[in-house]
Amino acid sequence: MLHPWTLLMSVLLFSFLSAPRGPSGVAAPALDLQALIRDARAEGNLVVYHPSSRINVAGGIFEKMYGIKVRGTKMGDPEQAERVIREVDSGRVQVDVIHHEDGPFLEARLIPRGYVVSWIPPDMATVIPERYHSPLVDKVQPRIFTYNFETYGSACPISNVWELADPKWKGKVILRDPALTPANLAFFATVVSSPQMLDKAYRDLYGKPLELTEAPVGRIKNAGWEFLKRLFTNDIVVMGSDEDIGDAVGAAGQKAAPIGMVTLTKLRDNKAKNLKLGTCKTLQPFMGYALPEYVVIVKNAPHPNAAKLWVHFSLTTEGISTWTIADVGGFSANPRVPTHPDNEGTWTAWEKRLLPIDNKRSMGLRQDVLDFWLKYGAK
Amino acid sequence: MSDEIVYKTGGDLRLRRFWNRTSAVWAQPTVIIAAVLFILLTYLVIAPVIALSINSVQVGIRDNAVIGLEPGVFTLYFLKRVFSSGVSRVLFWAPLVRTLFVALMTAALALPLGAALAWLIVRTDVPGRRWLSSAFVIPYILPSWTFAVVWLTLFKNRRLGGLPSFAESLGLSPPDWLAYGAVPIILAEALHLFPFAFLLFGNALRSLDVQLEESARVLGASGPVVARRIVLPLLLPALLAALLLTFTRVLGSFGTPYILGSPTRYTVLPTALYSAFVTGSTGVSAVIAVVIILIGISLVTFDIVLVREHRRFVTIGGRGSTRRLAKLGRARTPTAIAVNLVFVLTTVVPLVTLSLATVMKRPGVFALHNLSPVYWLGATIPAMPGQRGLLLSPDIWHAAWNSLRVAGLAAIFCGLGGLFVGYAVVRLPQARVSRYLRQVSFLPYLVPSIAFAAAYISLFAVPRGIVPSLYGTMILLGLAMSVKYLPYASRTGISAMMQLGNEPEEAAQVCGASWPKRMARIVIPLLKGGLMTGALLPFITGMKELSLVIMLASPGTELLTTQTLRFIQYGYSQLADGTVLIIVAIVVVLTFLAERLTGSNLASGLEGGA
Repeated sequence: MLHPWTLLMSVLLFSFLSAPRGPSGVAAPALDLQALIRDARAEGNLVVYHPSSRINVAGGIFEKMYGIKVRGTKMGDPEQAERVIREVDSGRVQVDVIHHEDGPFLEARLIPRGYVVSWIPPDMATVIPERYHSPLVDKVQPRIFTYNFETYGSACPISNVWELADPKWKGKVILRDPALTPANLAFFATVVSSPQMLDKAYRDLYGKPLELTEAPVGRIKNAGWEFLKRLFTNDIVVMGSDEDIGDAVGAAGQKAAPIGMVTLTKLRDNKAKNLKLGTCKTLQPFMGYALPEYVVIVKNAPHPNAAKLWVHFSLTTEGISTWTIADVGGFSANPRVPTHPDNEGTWTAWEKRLLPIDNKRSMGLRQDVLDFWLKYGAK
Repeated sequence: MSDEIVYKTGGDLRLRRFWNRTSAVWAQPTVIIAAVLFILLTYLVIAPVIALSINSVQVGIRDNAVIGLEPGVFTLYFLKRVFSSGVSRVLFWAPLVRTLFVALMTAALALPLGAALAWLIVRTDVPGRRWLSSAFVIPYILPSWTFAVVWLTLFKNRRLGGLPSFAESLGLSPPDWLAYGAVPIILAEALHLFPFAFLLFGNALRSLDVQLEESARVLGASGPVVARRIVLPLLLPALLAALLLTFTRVLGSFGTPYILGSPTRYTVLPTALYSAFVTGSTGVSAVIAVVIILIGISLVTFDIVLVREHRRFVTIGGRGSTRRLAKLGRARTPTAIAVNLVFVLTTVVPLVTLSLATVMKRPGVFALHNLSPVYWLGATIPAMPGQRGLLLSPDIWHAAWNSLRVAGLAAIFCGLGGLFVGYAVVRLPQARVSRYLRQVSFLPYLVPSIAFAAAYISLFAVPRGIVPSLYGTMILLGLAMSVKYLPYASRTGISAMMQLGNEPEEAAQVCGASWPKRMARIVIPLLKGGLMTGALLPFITGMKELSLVIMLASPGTELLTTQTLRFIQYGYSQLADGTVLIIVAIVVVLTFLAERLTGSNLASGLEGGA
């Protein structure tokens, strides 16, 4: 027989540990999902801007589950920002939810100025790791350097990122246009902020110290700026979408296939389009960067409850499966959602080989990085 | 005391005189129409340009994230950034030089081609002249970027990725300079714009008095001398007009340089404006837009001055009496083949390429297993998640309906606008106001499309006073289109009113007909033909407009043209090609119907208004 005190203490301790808690530690009100579904249904439909064309597939699942029609439009970050700001300022908001990949702009402008709200469903607060709460992340994915395994065999032809800036790869490195893909600007900013790493990598590859030649006015020369300058001036190729890059790198029958940076999910086209994409697993000091996708609700959204329901849906297996289970490449922010077998390891394992993006620091460097790109990369 | 009375009476008199005058003025509806038009046109034409200019020295919300100044603060930062900073070469100077280069080269190709074809068809006995004179207008009727889309389908290389081009499927790898950038842009623009030169030169040649040439011949002038001293000077206005039209068109053209220039970052002013706009540099895009407008206006002013100078010397006498067609003799058949070849290259090849591309899984692979109707009729499409065949896609039907509505709105507005502007300008006794109305209604013509759209966003994206924001509405699209195309209609309206004269209306007035009755029974019936052309032209142009609407359309108000561009951006080339074909089909059918209904030849309207 248990001592009454022990019993009482156990019950208290158990209830304390199991109670859902908000970030501040105060017990959050439970989410009444049924009421939310009811209110959302009353609103009828939902408008979502999303960086992936598969939004229509996920929209179909949502409609089947809740009877709410989703109009999803594939849209890049700059256009999303443009539309959301115009819509909110004009008082004619048409979109409810955006899935946004420009973390720096989201944190520095869209959220502080009230254009969008990051809302985490109370019942998800304990499930989703805290670092994905604010702003809310629904999925993360690696954007990494890939090569053509039909052309180069089982190992990536480069092992050090400095090779990308080597004349050997002149005109054969492909990136998303940074002017239109802010996430790449954030990546460059992170590169600039990690000079030791690049300095060491240079010495490892060439066995001599790196000569620094240039940095923007007011910035200190370092290995990061030097890497960007040499990469940009190596006749770098830019494209508008990961689809195009994946196709260009992975197309079968190439004698001198380029190297390109795409999200891991492009490996799905190895089946769908008979591509020959392989990941540069051993690339030093990083394979690419960790790209979070944020999901936020637009201010004065015309369908606020449907929007909340969609956010909740995006954190569940049903809602995110389109990107994380049906196809290779994505990782749900919800650790309970299983991952695709071809994902080449867990997210924790991936993160060790990727540069993390620091939203705040990256915003401070954005103009300089962009101008550096315009000066050396754009013709 | 008496002073006071005098004063009072004087006041009364003055008041009465004022009252009489105003009531007389207000009894005359022309004045009311003119007053309404004055306010409306000032608001719809002048105000957007002013708003745009203000934007160029003001921090926008997305600029603010980058440069740190508060939104709304006035600054010269953008002017400095565009004209003299470390990046101004990339942002402005290089695009400016390229734009001028492309415009000049386009004119250098399109003018001789159009002129040569016009001469062959008007002055020689080349067979099939009648048919050809309609056939050569078709390239203009096609959306301007059709050739760009076709070019990529035929010649793109691995630099762009995606599906292979026809050339690649044949085992070729087109070099970058052939696949993208200046060469294809110039070719595509020239093939689209040569009909201007063709029409203008054709009409000028037709109205040229042959007796002038014959007299010169009789007086002993040699062929080259006649050409240099007689024919060329008489054709100069047509030459200048064609040059100007070609130039301003290229200046505002977005689709072609965007599609063909992006892969090698060959940026011209319209695409530089667009990418500044999309990346959130509102200030920079406003500065570029203002520059484009200034170039447009100065070009036209230059042309007007030249033509006016020129007109002092030229009075073209009536019609050449009996024009003898030059006999081509042995060259007749080769010439016929060459001329028809131009038609095949500019019209048949593009349309056939597009049609083939929409039923091929891999473009350019001519094998039965490669053919598939899935891009037109599929419920799902492999490797295009969430897309359905074009004919089953609700997005396409929605976009088509939107296009019809917007173009229809523009047509109605232009038809009515043309009527009222014509009526007010011709009937208004106040010459100064009349001149203002005429000029302002013509001004949108000088503002290149993409800059016009930028100006409309500046003015209408936020609520201003009693006018709510129109951002993301069909009204904004319709309004921009209506005003941009108003010049076609107002010109027709003014010239038709001039010809109508005062008499019929005065006679009716004497008989006691009210103003509405006079309009309904006399003015409108007599002006009907011109107004129809003035309305149809905007309708057809609106269906294929891209440069003007690319920044104004949003996901709910997608048009067929913007939908095409989205497909191109996604890399769904078959769907893009198919959507272009849908637009072509609608426009060609409409043009044909319009010509049947109005019994007129739209080409004549094109030449006058466009």
